[in-house]
Amino acid sequence: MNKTFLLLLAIAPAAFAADLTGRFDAGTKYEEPALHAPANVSRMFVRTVARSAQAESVDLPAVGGSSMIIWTIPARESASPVVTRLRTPNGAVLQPKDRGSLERGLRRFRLEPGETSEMGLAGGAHEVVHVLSTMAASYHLDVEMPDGVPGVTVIAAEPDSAIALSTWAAPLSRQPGQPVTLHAEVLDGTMPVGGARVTARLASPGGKAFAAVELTEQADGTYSATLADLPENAPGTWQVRFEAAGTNATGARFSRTGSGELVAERGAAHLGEIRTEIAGDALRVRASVDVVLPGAYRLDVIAADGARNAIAWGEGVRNLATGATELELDIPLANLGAVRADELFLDVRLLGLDTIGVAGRVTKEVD
Amino acid sequence: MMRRVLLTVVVAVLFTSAVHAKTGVVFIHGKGGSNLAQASVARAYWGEDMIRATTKGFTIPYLICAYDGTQYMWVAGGTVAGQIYNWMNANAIDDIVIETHSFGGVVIRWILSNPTYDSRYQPIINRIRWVNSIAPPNKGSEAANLAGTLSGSWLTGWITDLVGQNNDATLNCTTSSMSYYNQYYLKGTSGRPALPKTVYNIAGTGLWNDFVHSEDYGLATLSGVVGMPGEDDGMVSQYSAQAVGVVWFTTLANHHHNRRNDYKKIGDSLATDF
Repeated sequence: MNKTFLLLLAIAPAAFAADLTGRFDAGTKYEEPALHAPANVSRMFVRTVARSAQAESVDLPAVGGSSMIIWTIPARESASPVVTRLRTPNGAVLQPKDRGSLERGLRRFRLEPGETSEMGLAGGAHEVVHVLSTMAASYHLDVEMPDGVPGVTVIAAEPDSAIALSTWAAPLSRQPGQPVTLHAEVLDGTMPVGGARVTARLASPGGKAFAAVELTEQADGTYSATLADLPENAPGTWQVRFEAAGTNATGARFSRTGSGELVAERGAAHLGEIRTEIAGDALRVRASVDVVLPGAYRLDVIAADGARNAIAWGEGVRNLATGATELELDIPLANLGAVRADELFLDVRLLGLDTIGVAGRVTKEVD
Repeated sequence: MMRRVLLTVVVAVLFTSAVHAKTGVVFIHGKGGSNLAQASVARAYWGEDMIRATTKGFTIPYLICAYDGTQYMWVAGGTVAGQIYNWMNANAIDDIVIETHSFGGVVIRWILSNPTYDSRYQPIINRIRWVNSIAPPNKGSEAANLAGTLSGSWLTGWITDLVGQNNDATLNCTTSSMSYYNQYYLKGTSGRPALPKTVYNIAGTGLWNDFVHSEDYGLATLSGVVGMPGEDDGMVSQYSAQAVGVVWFTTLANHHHNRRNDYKKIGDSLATDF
């Protein structure tokens, strides 16, 4: 029994740790959590090709005015390599095993799995074809797969292209019942691109993909869709894959693949009313909580002044049972400096520790 | 730079006057395979010359942390904390300089940011002098985003073979995930409480280090495909590496070379640090 208790003391989230408080560095501005993550900006697109008896030809539209990187990734390692042949719009062909040259404007490289393993991509040997300068037309990659390779992924990027797809999903921290917005923006330099077809597919934390959702064109090259709910109740990180296709002002076709993410929170607790009082030499912050999922949580308090200069913070671990309860955390008045308690703005958060995730967040202007 | 030199002098004076201060160096690697939990694999991650240079010819006590490189930062943090805690107590180390590469910089930020999460964290934090963080994806990595884009869930089952390593550590490092963690769980970015110890960052800004070494092609391909903004080292953008702490210096060594002492000799620089 004693050993069990000592072990719990040693390895459990520090349930018995004292609360921590501190001051922000001078000049720090309070920042509200962003509604969504920074937009992912893409100048590439992804195609997947399943193996068939005959060679598959992948259409690779280029806008022109950029180099193009064509990365072929087999789905599985194989003794026999995937064979590719690139056909360019001007009739030039980069044959299999042809390494090309700078003079011809076409080059071929091999990437070993170890070179991409750190980003989480393994598989067999990868191949990269580099087109030094594209014209606004379609390139074609003929792909022959040996028996042991069920398919390949082809990524074509135009890193210097003016056509860029920016994407995000919101809210980044999504509580149960909140609608989900999928957002895309297509720009040609600074000019919005209208008339594109933009779709998005969501995938649950367990890896299950759902049907594509069509995004509706809004103003200024933006496209969006709002979902009343996620397709299934699965807490964790949801990934979104966006696909955009269209033509630019000069009629050149383009394709772009983008991504986004949001965290579906568990609905672990509901953070309610926030109250404050002066208790001795501290500002006591009280929060009403209705706990749905018992466990270890951390109560975080950020205090800012009326001009939203971040002043002080406090945090404390709380082990909570199911049901309504009241939490409190003291911020030393000394940490508030010259700011009066009734001038404060408070940002109070309840964060999961057993399972990482935001259980609730409430803000309050102290009266 | 001047502030860092000044701080070094001040700390050196303080520690010279300390009666029994015993300095040690801890290496925390980045993400990768689960085999990074093996001591020999973790050691090879850095390379012998990096360890030799940083420890001044193995004269300074050191620990090479070895954790499963596929796990979230809080899982990795638990393993790393256990190893540091046991090592520092067994060897009476009371002054620790931390050297991290890539995701290792996020793992130590988890520990520094969440001292109440694990009872071992605070004693470790108390003994850390500072952290030197090489190419940390503090705001995530666009390369990790690509791994998510290629996720096996999008098509048929066969492609899951391709992304079997689209693992928790990679998910941890997407720009969206790091935005989430920076806002709620991690300290040190703008608008958040400061970290309890100073982090000095070293960002990589080069791609083509060694044309004989084929890894450079992989990093250059990644950089071009995922469209990292500004300068990058093939895996982590400069803006992300410099989002936390104090800029120490930048290096032309790319993401594979900036954890070794074989190009631009970063280990030699780390050895001048204490």
